Amino acid sequence: MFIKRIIILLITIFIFSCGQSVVELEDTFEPKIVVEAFIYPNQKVNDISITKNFPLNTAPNAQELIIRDAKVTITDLKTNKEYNLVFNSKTFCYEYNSNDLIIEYDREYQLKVNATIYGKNLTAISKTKTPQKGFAIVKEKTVSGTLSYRQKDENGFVKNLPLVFKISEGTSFYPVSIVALDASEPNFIYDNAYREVKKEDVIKDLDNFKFRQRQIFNVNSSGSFYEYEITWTAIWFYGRYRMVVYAADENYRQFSLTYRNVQEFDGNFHEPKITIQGDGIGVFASMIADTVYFSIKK
Amino acid sequence: MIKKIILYHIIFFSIIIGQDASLSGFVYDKTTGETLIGANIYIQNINRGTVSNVYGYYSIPKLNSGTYQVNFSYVGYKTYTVKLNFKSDEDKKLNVYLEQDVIQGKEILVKADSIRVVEKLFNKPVSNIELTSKQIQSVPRVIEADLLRTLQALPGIVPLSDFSSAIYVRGGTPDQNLFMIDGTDVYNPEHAFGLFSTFNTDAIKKVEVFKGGFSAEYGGRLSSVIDVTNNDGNRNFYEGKVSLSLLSLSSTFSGPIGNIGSISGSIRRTYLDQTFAKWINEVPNYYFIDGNLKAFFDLSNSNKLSVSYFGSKDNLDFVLDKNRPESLGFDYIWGNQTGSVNLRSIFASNIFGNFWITFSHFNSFFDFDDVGVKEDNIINDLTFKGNIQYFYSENFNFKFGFEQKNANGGLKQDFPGGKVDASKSRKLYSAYSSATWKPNPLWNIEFGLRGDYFVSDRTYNNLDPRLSIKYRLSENANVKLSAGSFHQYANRIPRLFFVSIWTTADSFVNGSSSKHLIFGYERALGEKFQLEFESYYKTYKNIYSYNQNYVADVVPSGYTSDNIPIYNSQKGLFTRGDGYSYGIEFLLRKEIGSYTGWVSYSFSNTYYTIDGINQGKSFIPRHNRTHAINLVSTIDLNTFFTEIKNKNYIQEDKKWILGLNFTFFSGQPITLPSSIYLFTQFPDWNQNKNSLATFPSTINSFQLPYYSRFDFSLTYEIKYNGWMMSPYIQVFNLFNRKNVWFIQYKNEIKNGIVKQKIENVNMFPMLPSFGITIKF
Repeated sequence: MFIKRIIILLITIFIFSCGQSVVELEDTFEPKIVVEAFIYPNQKVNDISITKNFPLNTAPNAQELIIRDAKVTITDLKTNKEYNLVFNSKTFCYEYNSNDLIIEYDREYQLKVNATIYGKNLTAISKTKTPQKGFAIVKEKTVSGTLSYRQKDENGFVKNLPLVFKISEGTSFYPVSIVALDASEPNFIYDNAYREVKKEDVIKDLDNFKFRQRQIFNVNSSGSFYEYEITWTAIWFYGRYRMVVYAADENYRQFSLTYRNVQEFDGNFHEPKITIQGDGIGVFASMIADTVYFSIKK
Repeated sequence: MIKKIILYHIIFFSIIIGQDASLSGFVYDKTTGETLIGANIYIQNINRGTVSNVYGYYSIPKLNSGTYQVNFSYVGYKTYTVKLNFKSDEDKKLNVYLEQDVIQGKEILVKADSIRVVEKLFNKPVSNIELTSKQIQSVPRVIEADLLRTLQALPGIVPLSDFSSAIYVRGGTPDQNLFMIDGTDVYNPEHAFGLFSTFNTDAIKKVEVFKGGFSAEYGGRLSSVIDVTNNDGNRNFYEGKVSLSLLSLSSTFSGPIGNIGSISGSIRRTYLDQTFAKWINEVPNYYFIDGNLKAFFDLSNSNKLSVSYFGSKDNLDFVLDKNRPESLGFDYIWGNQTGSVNLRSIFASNIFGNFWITFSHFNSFFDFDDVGVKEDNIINDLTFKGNIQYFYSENFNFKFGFEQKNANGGLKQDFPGGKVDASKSRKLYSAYSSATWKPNPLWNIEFGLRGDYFVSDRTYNNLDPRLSIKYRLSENANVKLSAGSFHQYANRIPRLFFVSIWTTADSFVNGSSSKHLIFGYERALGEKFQLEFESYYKTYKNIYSYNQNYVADVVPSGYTSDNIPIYNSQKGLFTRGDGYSYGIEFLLRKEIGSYTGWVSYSFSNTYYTIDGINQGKSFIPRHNRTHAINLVSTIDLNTFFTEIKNKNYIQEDKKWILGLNFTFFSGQPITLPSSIYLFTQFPDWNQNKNSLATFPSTINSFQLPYYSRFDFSLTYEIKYNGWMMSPYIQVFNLFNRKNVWFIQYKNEIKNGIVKQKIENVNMFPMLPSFGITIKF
C-alpha cells in the first residue's frame, strides 16, 4: 500500500514537473491616440503627428496607423485663441499654415485631439510651456570640423567630444541627438576600441549604431553655460555627423526618460510618465533646437 | 515612551523576589565540546522541564529540597539520566556532556527522539522553524548548498525566480527580513548578483527562522528574522572538512585552543576565474570568496567569550572584448565584513547575561572609467546590545534587553552630468522586555514590549507590543496565537545588476510599520511526525517600493561650482504605499529516522496600494504566489525499507542518501504589454527600428503559468576510521521543465510592416552537477 502511494506521488510529481509551461496571452488591448507633437518658439506649428496604437500579435502597415481625420487644435493659453490644424498628406503631420500663429517663448499652449479609433471616440489633451529664450550651442567650444577617430591629446589620452551650450533659464533638460549621416555597413568602424562587431550585426543593428543620444538632465537652470563631454561610444561610423541639442520642456523630460524603459529586469512592465490627459500616449512637447555638424575620419 | 518602559520594568522587577533550590548549567556535545541549542532537560518526578537556550545554557529555578531524577536529551544523542539531591536554597550547577548515538563501526538503533514531539512543539515559538547545517545541505540545490534557497522550500517563503536567492516571507519583500550572523546584522547577503547567498552552510550550527509574530527581542524589520549561529568549534580535537563542487572549493576546520576554548573557521572560493575565464572569452573574470572565523573562550565557569568574524567579497573584472586592450570594461567589487564580540555571563544560576559589540560593514565599488561612472556604496553599522535572561520560577522567565545602533554610509556616485552623495549618519536606540509565563502546564504565554527611538534628520519613536500564546488542546495537540506590531526604518533600493542600496527613514521617507496576527494548530503524529497549521493576517503601512521612473522624478539638492547636480536626498526614489497579506500554511515534518524532510502547502495573497500606481487602486504585487507546495525529503536508502517495516532506523557507516525536492508555485502576476505604438524619440530622427514602443496593460493583471520543478541528489557516504567521504551527484530541475520567467517582445519594422516576435524567457533548465565532501 505504502509503495503504491509513493508511486502515485512520483507520477504526479513527474506530470507536474516536466514539459513547457504554456503562456496564453489575453487580449488586453485598449485603443489610444498616439501623440508625437513638437512645437518650437519662433516657428509655425507643423510637426504634430497623430497615430494610433495597435494590438500585440498584429502586423499593421505603418501607414495604416496614421490618423488623417482627427480634430486637432492648438490653443494659446495666454489669448485663449484656438487654432485648428490640418493634415498634410505629404508630411503625414498636422500643421497650421496661416501666419497668425507663431509659437512664442515662455508661453503656455494646449493641444487637443479628438479622433475615432477602432470605433471608439477618444480625446487627448496636454499642455506645455515653451522654454525661455537663450539656449544656443556655443559653436566655438563644441565639436566641429573633421576629427580623427578617438583623437588623443598631447599626453596620449583620448579626447572626448566637447559640447558647450548656453542655458535657457528655467530649462533643466537638454537631450542630445547624434546621427551618423553616412551610416552604412562599409563606413562602420570595425576597428573600434570597444567590441568586436560582425558585418551581419552591423546590417541588422544599423539603426542602433546610427541613431545615438545623450540625456543631460537636472542642469542648473539658473546657470549660464553648461559643459559636457560626449564619449566615443556615440561614434560607430566614419563620415558626417549631425548633432542636435534640444532645450526641452518638462513633458518631454518625463516621457523621453521613461517611455523606453517600461520593462524591468524581471520582465515586468510598468507605465511610463505621460503628461497627456485622457486617452493619449506619447508627448506634446515644446523645445528649442540647435545643430552642429562634424566629421570623423580614419 | 521612556516612562512607559520604566514602569513596565518596575512591574516585572517587583515580581522578582525570593529564591529556592535551583539547577543550572550548560549542555555540550561530548565529542566536540560544542554547546547544544534546544536540548531538553526534564525532571521526571515533578513533570518540570526546560530547554537549553541558544548558548546551550539552562536553568530550572524554584525547586523544593529533595531527590529528583533529571533527564537530558537531544535528537541523535543518548539520553543522560541523573539522580540529584537538592538541599534547601542550593544552587546546583551541572554541565552535561551528551554522547552521540552513532558509534563508529557499529550499527545502532534510533527509535525516536527521547522528548515527545508535542513537547518540542509546545516550547517552540509561533511561526518558527529551525534548521541545522545538515538539513540545509541535504536539500538538492543549484550547484552549491545555499541557506536562502533551502528557506525558499519552506511554507510561507517564496522566491521571485530561479535567478535570485532573495526570499519573500508571507507577502513581505526581501528588505523586510532581518539577517543576522552570530548576533550581527548582515545587509546584502548575496553573491553573484543574487544567485547565491553569502552564508557558508559548512560553518552553520543552527538557523532560526521566524516568519512572523517574532518576540520583542527582534526589531527593525517588518516580516521575518533569519538568525544564523555559527559553530563555536571543537573543544576536544582538531577536525576539518573539504568540499569541492563545480562552482567552488571550500574548507572548514575546528579545534581546541588549549583547554580554554575552541576555534573554528571556514573559507570558500569560486574558481571560474582561474579556469573557464582563462579558456573562454565570453566567461567574465569573476570570483567570490567568503569565510568566517569564530573563537570561543571559557574565561571562567560563569563567563564565556566568543569572537566572530565573517567576510565576503565578490570581484568582477569585466572586459567586453578581452582581445582589445582598450575595450569597454569595468571593475566591480563588493562584499560584507562583520565582526562581533559576545560575552555571556552567569550572574546567578538563574540570571544569564549576554552582551555584544557588533560591527557590520558593506562596501561596493564600481568603476566604469570609459563612460565616466564611479560608485562607492558603503554601510557601516556599529551596535552595542545586551540582554538579561532571568529564570525566575517554573512559571516565569524574563528577558530584558537593549540595542544601540550607529549606522553611517550611503551611496557616492560620479556620472557624466551629476554626482550622488547620499552619505548619512543614523542612530537607533531600542529597549525591550519580555516575559514567558506558564500559569499551568497547559499554557505557554509570552508577552513583550519593544521601544525604538530612531534619529535621522527627523526622529521617530514607536512602541511595539508583542504577544504569543500556546495552549495544550489535548495530549498531542496545541493551539497557538501570536500578534504584534513591528517597525522598520531602513529601505532597500534593488537595482538591475548593481547591489542594492540601503536608505533610511528621513524627512522624505517615513518609517514603515506592520501588524501581524497569527493563529495556528500543531499536532504530534506518532513519535516522529509533526503537523503544523498556521493562518495569518498582516498589514503594512508606509511601505516603500523603488520608483521605476525615478530618473524623471529625482531632483538635485544643489550644484557644484561647475554646475554639476548633486543628489543627496532620496526624494523621488521611492513610491509610498500600504498593503496587507493573508494566508494559511500546512507543514508536515519529520526530523529523525531514515527518511526526513517535510511536505508543505501554503495559500497566500498580498495586496498593495501604492501612491500614483494603478490610479491608487489596490493590486497584487509581482512576488505574490497564491499556492505553493513543497516536498523536501532525505532518504537513507540502506535503511528506508527497514524503517517502513519495523519502524526503527538503523544507521550504518556506509550508506546511499537520496535527496528529493519538489516545488510547485502558482504563477506570478505580471504586467504585460497591451499595445504597441510608433514613437520616434527625437524630432530630427527618421522613423527607424527603434521607433516601436510598448504600452503596458493594467499592473499585474496577467498571471504566468505555474512554476514547478523536481530536484534530485544522490550521495554515497562512507565513514572509516574517523574520516568521512561523500561524493554526490545532483540534478536541479530533473525533468527539464521550462518555467517561464517572463515574456520578451521584440518588434521591428520591415518594408513598412510592423513585425513582432514574442518569446518566453525561461528559468534554469536541467542543471546536473557533482562534487565531493571529505571530513577528517
